[in-house]
Amino acid sequence: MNNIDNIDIPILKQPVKKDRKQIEKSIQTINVIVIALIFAAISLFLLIGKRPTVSKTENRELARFPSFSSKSFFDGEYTANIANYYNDTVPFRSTFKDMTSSLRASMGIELDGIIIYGNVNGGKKDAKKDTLSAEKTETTPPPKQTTDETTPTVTDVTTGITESSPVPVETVPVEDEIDDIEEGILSGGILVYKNRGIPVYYGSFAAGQNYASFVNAYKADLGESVNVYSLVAPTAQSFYMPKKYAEKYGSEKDNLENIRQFLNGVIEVDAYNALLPHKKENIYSRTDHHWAPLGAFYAAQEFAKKANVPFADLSTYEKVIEPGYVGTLYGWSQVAALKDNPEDFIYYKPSNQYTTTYYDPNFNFDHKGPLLIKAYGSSLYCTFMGSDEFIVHVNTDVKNGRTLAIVKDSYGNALVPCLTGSFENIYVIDMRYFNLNAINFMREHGVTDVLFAMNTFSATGGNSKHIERIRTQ
Amino acid sequence: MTFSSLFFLYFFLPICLICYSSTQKLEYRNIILVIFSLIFYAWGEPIWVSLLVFSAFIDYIHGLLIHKFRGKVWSKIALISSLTINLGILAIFKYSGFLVTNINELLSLNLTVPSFKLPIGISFYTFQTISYTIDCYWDKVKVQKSFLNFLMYVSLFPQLVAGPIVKYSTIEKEITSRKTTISDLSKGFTRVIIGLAKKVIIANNLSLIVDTILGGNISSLSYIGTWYGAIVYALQVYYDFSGYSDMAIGLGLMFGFHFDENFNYPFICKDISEFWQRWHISLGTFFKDYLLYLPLFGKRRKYASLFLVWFCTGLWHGASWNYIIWGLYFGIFVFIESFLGKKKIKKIPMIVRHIYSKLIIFIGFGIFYFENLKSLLNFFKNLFFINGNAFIDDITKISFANNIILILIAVVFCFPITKFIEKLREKSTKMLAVLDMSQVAVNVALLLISSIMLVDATNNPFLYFRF
Repeated sequence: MNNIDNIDIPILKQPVKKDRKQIEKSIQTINVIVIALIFAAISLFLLIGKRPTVSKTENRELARFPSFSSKSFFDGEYTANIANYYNDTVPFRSTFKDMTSSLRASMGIELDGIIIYGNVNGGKKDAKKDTLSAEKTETTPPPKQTTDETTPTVTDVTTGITESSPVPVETVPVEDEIDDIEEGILSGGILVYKNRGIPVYYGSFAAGQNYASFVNAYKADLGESVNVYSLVAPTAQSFYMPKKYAEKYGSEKDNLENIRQFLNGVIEVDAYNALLPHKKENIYSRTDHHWAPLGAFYAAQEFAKKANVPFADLSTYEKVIEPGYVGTLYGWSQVAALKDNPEDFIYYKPSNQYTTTYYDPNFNFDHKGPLLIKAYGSSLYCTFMGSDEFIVHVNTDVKNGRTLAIVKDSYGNALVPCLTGSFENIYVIDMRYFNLNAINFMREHGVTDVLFAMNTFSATGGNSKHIERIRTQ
Repeated sequence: MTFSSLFFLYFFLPICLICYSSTQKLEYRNIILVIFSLIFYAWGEPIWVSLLVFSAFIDYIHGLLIHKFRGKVWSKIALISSLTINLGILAIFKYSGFLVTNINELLSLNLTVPSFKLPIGISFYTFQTISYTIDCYWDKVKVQKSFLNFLMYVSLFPQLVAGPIVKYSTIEKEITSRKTTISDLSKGFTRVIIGLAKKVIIANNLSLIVDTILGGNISSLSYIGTWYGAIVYALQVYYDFSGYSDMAIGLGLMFGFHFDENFNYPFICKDISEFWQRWHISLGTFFKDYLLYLPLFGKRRKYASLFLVWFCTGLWHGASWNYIIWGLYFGIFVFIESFLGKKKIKKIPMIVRHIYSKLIIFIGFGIFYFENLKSLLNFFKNLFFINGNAFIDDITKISFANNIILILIAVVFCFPITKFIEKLREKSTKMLAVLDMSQVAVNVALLLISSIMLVDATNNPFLYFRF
């Protein structure tokens, strides 16, 4: 029996083992063929597919194939940039990014209707530290200036800013962001609440005091004959952040009040209280970090009151609706809830007559063109003058002898069409790109009113240093 | 060049594989691997590729000298010379800045702090070449007489920049005699895809949570938020590093090399000693083989060597005090466990041992995260609820909800699921066919999802690149 068993066992087991091996090998072969084919197909697709040059959703120019130099080769930049070009300019990039955002959205659920992105924990130990109640006792407004400072006569043109792009790149929440998280100015974080993206603001009283001193210096330089205004626009956080979360972050209202107490001779335009009664209207984009044109209109109305200039009623404007707008906040965060809930971009065309001339940052003539241009996709906010880099001169049919210079970040762009019925001339200067001495420029062009118009992130963030730079360069 | 990039996966690797398969001759294949490995390295380090070649050449020569003078004093001198040069290079590039900074602070001096750019992977390839010369001296491996073959071992791109630390003895025979079977190729592809998915789908997305929770101001973080951040960071490092090791092992298989495993489900450990037998195994093995039993400390050598190993483990990870503290921190627990003895530890209820080991590990990763000592202190205060911060905060709650499925996946795959599947495979031929075909489908899905996600993850290098 034992002998038979010994003979039988291998005969019975062998086919099973052989079968298993064969099946294993067959499936391994299938695996290799299938995976190799996918690798080959994707490699070919990436090799011959048309590579995009611009990302509309991210609002940026994509990486370019680098040009060779021995320096860039030896420091590793050349090869790194080739790989970067290859990775950054994938054909159908935005489609794949949309797929990624949907995949990410499937990795969890919303809580309280909220999705968070990035550093939303970047504030000070106590975000309420920079509130008026705490700070009022610690800081004293500066003494009123009694003498004008020496007017700078420097007219050297320096090009401190090098970034340039055919696609306007917005910078408010991320550009000078997070200079120092411990300082708690900007976090780059976004909180999406009920399909509305809200960049998280922490604020800084010290930075607000700096801002005030910068604009005060303009008043001191320009003297009594020129009115200087400060319009610091709150962002969506002030109106749409759920209360229990708002308490965690900086209060824009308190930061604005802090700025106000340090202004000296500069007229404050209270955009916060001008916008507050309209919070149920479309005054802020849900998918973009900018305010909506209607929000800018109410702020401009408040400014016109302070400047004592005429102001056209909204009914006199032509309303234009661009549907399907998904702005910068989606490009930055890739939160699918923003992409899946586009909004209407609604702007207003003024009815009076005006001409618009565009100059480069050194005030060399560039072109004449419309004030409101045709923009697309995520760049719809660029409807206003197309780009931040130009110095823009608007000459209107208003003959009141008033010439306005707007020193602004991108928030200021939307104010311009609201003021074509208020000033005879408007010069639009983006503080981040302007290459001349601002005081000389204002004097040379007979400016009677200077409006500093930017959002809280810029005023109490890194962008405000440009206000001083263009005054002193 | 990073493995988890479209450029590597769909440009470099296919060209390399095509060239490699274009010849059956192993000599040519080795030449092709050397060329592609040097291109791979030079892509990120066009200058320091010369250091890699220099380092390989030095050890190649020292190997020959050790062999020639075997049994004589010159053999020992050659070994010491090799160790001095290797560790000297590492000390200059990685530790000189740290050393001078500390000397300046300690002695109130103002010496110029050297600021060398750390060549990628120097910690890995230096240890590999050291393993060769020591093993050569101990006569554990045959001397490699071909510089090309030795250069291939040192520069082999699958394991060059972030490990695992492949000892020469592991692939000694395969350098001159290897064959890529269909089984190797299939397992290699599968391993590469699993590693890629671990990195791109899990680790990269966990890193977003870590950025949100620990990337802000730690001093304001809640108690639960701090623990949550530390746990997610531990998971991130695990998936990032083990993902890279999977890809390295998979790529090795594609070229016929069989590297040792570098991870073995570390989070299922019951004590810290076991954790380190399961985590970054190649580093632990290196220290165990070459450092632990050095006769440096006389009678007390067991414990003194143990602390030396843990000091070096920390220091190897980075020239910063938090890494040294991190290493010694684990060393203390390994010491306590060793002091108590295995019998006593085994008497402790299993659940207690699991809780103990996880607590120590997660706190340890917090130390690993914070290079800033002030933040590290705040981290500890938060962990033990002595900061006076909230018990739990809303952002932590939202972050957890927003990523609950990702976190569940990350936790589940910390357990040895594949071992369970392996057992199922053995049950019947039908089961084998079903499971293996499912693996093919999973491979396709993971490869496509990872590739799509890579479009949005440009320039997201592996964490262990910095070591």
